[in-house]
Amino acid sequence: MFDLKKCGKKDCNNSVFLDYDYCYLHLTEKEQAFSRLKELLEKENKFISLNLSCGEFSDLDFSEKSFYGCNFSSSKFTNCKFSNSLLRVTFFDFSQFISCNFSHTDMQSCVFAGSVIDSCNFTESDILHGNFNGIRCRNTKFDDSDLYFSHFINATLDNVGFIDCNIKKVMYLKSEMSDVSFKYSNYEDAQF
Amino acid sequence: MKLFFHFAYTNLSNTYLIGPEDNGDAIIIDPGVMDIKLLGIIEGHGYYIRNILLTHAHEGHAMGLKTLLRIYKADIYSGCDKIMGIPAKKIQHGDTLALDNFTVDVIGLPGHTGDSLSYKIKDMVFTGDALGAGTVGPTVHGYAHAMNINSLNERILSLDENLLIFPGHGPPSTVKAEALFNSYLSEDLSNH
Repeated sequence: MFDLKKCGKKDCNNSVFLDYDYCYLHLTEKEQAFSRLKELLEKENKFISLNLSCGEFSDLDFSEKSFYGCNFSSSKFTNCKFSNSLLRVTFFDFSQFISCNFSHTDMQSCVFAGSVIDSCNFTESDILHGNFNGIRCRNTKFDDSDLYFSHFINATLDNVGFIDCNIKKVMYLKSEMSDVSFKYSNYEDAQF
Repeated sequence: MKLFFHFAYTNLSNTYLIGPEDNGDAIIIDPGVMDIKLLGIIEGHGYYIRNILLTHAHEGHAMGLKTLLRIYKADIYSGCDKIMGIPAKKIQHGDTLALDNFTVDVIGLPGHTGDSLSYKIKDMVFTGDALGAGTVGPTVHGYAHAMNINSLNERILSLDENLLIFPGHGPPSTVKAEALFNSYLSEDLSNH
């Protein structure tokens, strides 16, 4: 499980990036850190306790990799690929996702709470015990996914698809929805 | 340190296993079930269960105890001195335990039950049924509900906002996500 080791910059509450002494925002060698990450992604397939919080990632390929107990909190992802990845107890809370692909992922106990999710694809995935509370999500599809025991409490959902999903024990309490489809899904097993 | 999540399908509760990076003594929190899959995780990592922590004395979080104790000689820690007829070491709010190289801070969260405890281990807080992602545990009456909310506000939301929450049911969360998106924690308790 990742370590929430604090950034070396005085009064900064962020966690350090990879094994550096500073968070991504206060790293002086940002480019070097980013190259190291790209190299890691090209070389390794399995990542444990990786700390990438507060990062900014564009056009990165995280697909077909496994992530266990990793921290991507408060990060910004643009056009990144997580398709066919395996994610366990991994934190993406308070992040921003634009045009990212999470299709065919196998996800358990992952946290996206407080994130902004725009034009993303979570289709044909297993998203079990996912925390999507407080997300602001638009133009995104979860179609054909198993969302068992996931929470979307206090979420804002605009043009979001949950077509043909398993939504047993999924909670949508206090969510604001517009143009959301649950066609062919077992919505009687969810809580609204 | 490694954290493993195991879903007890018989009562839909979460069991957590915490162990060292390599083989050695490990801790189980709320063994709602002890099945072949959990045994495989324990043995597969070369762990020996030396200590068991219970967040409260409901059977749904302790059904695996008898089987576990047939395999491992473990001490049980709980807010009660007995669970399902099995003796436990009674602990209370404010206690600190040194177990298997892990320091465990005991945080009392009375309300869901009178004996409800949560456990802080490094950056993780195991909240049992007192707190879930966007939810709180059911209580028998309004006074107990108010107690639960007050204890969560005083003892959990006052912790570092980056800490990770691992509840007895449903997905994980963070202190910050609960502070922002758990409506129960900001409700007006004057009617209770």
